[in-house]
Amino acid sequence: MIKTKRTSWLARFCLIAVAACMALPAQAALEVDITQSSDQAIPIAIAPFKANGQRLPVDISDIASRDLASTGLFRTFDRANMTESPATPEDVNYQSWAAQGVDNLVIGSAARNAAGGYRITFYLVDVARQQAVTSFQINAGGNQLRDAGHTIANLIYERFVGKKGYFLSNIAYVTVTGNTANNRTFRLVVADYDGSQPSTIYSSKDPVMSPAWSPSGDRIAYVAFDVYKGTSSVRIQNLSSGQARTISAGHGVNGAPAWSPNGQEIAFAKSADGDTDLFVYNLATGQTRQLTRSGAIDTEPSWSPNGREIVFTSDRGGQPQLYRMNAEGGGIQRLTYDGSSNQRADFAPDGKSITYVQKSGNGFRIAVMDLETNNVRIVSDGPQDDSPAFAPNGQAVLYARQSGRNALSLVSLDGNAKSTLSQAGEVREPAWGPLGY
Amino acid sequence: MLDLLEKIGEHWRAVLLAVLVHGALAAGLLFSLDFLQPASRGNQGESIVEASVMSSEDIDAMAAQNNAESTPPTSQPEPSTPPASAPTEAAKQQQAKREQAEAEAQRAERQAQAEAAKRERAEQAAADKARAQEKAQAEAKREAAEKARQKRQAEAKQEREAEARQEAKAEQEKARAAKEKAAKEKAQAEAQEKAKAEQAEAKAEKERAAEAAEAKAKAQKQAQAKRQAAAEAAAQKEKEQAEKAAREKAEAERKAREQAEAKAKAQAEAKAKAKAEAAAKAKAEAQAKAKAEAEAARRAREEAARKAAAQSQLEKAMAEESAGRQAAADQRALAGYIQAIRNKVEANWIRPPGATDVTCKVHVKQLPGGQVANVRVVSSCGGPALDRSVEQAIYKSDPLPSPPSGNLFQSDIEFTFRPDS
Repeated sequence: MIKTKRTSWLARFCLIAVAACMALPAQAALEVDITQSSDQAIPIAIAPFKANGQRLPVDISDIASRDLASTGLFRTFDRANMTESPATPEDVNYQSWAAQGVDNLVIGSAARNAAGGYRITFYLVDVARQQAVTSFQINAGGNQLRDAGHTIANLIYERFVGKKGYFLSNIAYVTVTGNTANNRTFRLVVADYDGSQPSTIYSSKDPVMSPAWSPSGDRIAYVAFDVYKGTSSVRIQNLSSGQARTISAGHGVNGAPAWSPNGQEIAFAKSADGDTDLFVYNLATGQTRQLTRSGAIDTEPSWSPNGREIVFTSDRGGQPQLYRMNAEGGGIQRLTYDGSSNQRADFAPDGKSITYVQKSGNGFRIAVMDLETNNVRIVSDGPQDDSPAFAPNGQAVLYARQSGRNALSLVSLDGNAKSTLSQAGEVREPAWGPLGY
Repeated sequence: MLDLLEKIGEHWRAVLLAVLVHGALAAGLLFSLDFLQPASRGNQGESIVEASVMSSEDIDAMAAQNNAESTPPTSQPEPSTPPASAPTEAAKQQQAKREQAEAEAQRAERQAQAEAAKRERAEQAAADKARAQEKAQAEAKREAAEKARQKRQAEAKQEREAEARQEAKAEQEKARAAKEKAAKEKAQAEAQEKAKAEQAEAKAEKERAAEAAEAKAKAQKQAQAKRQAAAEAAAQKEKEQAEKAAREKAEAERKAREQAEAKAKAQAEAKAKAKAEAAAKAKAEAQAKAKAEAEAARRAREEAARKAAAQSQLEKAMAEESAGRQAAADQRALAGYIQAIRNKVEANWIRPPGATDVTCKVHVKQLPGGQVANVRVVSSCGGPALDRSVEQAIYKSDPLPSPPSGNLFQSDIEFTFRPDS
């Protein structure tokens, strides 16, 4: 009797233990799958930086704020709504920022350094965690505060987006002023990516076309015409020295230069034997070799980032379309079939996609094609968009909008965020330089 | 007072029965009294004699019978002496006449005397007869009265016995009802407690439930056995009480009987004997009845216990079902809880652009209020910016949603970010 009682208790205990064990795995951890993300922009506020309580000559926090906002990836906060501009995380009133929906806060200050410039210290504060996530210190010369602002933007951008920011990069473009043939001036201009601090590196009464940045950003290749002689030439100009060198010149077409990724070769179009073909000029040897030999026009080459492929425009199919071939000129494949014409291709920095101008019933618009899937996405509105150029981090495309008021436009890769770089006069053929850092 | 009312309400049947029996007895008593009254009145007056019993033939018959039976000595001498002295003073002429007249008168007198005697005799006989009748009637009346008395006594006795029985029965019933009620309450309480305990063990497995059921059945069996034992003990007690009550009643009756004996010695012994027998019989009956009732009560209790067991079985089944429903509800609640966490984190996750094939695991420790205590990226999402974005998504979701019920809370949460799958 006692024995059976004991066994019954034992059985009971075992049952309870088993039940407990079966209940345990559920207690281990709640498993939650996250498959969606918010498509909203990252909320961030950059409070004004001050130097010893004084305003800086350049509003670097405003520069950084505009940089981030232009990408469309960040939602920045109007300074007028900021109730405080703390210099250190200890001074932050987190509730106040959180109440405004500010998830991320950048605060900082500047101090004079020994070199006569400024040492800028800033913190990235996570408002939800109520703590500084990271802090940075940058030194800037007295006349480099603008770049300091872009640098701050780059650092924040990279932290949030995971890619380098292009806020220190430069662009080149051509402006045309004057209405008549006599007083028209063509200028090749280099500016900050946002169009600020423009400087003319070459000007002429005759047309200037097709600027192209060397991979290192120290030189620009472009096409210059001599209307009087009836010739055109492909030139390479050193930006710091201003010295220029002509790699191809003569009657007919000498145009559309494109740098190889290693910066040692330039592919360009040249008319020969009655039609235009692609050639490659070796900067080191001064030798030129012909890539294509078709009876049609082959032009506007773009080198893939790995240097093994070239995409170009050809009308060998009757209309201008994009084709790809290897760097030796073989294995030509047609890339584009949509629209009545597709031209002016530019490789993305990662080599996975190209951007180009597509002509369709809606006019000329900027398209982006994924080279793996051949999916095409139209990212501009038209109807007269031209000369797309990838940002050096591949996250945006710069192009010339020639309808209405002439301007350069910046569009994010998904086509959602657009910003316009205002310039005086007619602006053509932008080219986006390297990151700049 | 309320208590009494309550008791009456509880045993209204017994009360009603008692009232009815009493009423019946009272009616019986009244009726019998009414029936006997004329006889007792007749005991004092002669109305009956005068009224209708005697006809002249009867009287004659009776007189003849009386004459035949015994000569009436008192009829002749006294009335004959006064008329004899009157005829001596009359004339001789007239003497014959007188004598003749006398003779005639004597004759007439004699005749009258004879008639008177006859009448007297008849009267005597009638009186005798009436006396006899009276006597007989008185005798009958006495007998009737005696009988009525006996009957009354017997009835009183019966009534008392009935009362005793009734009371015993009522008491038994009361006790039984109380017992039943207690048993029922106990069973109910037990069932409730059991159900509660089972609900508390909401996630109990089937085996465990079965085990519990077994244990419960055993416990119930034991409880039943216990209850049965208690019932039997109670029955025994009741029996004893009934016996005691019966004994007391018998004692009272015996005393009454003794008093009655003092008044009526003649019937005493027989009556005592009869009463003793009756008492014994009543006692035996009461015992038998008590026993039968105890048996009935036991059966009723058993039935009640069975019913209670069935009820608890049903409740247990319902509890099991509700436990199953609870488990299902928990499952739904858990799914809802997970969905709530998911929704909040997804709303707060701003995925860096351009990142493809994102997949990573993030381990989060939360405090009971949903406060994020620790975030650890177990496997990188593909870059520091992505890792930061998921971390921030979780920190921004602080406090994490609360579970619908506390038992669903788990301090460890494993997030799997896989937007591209």
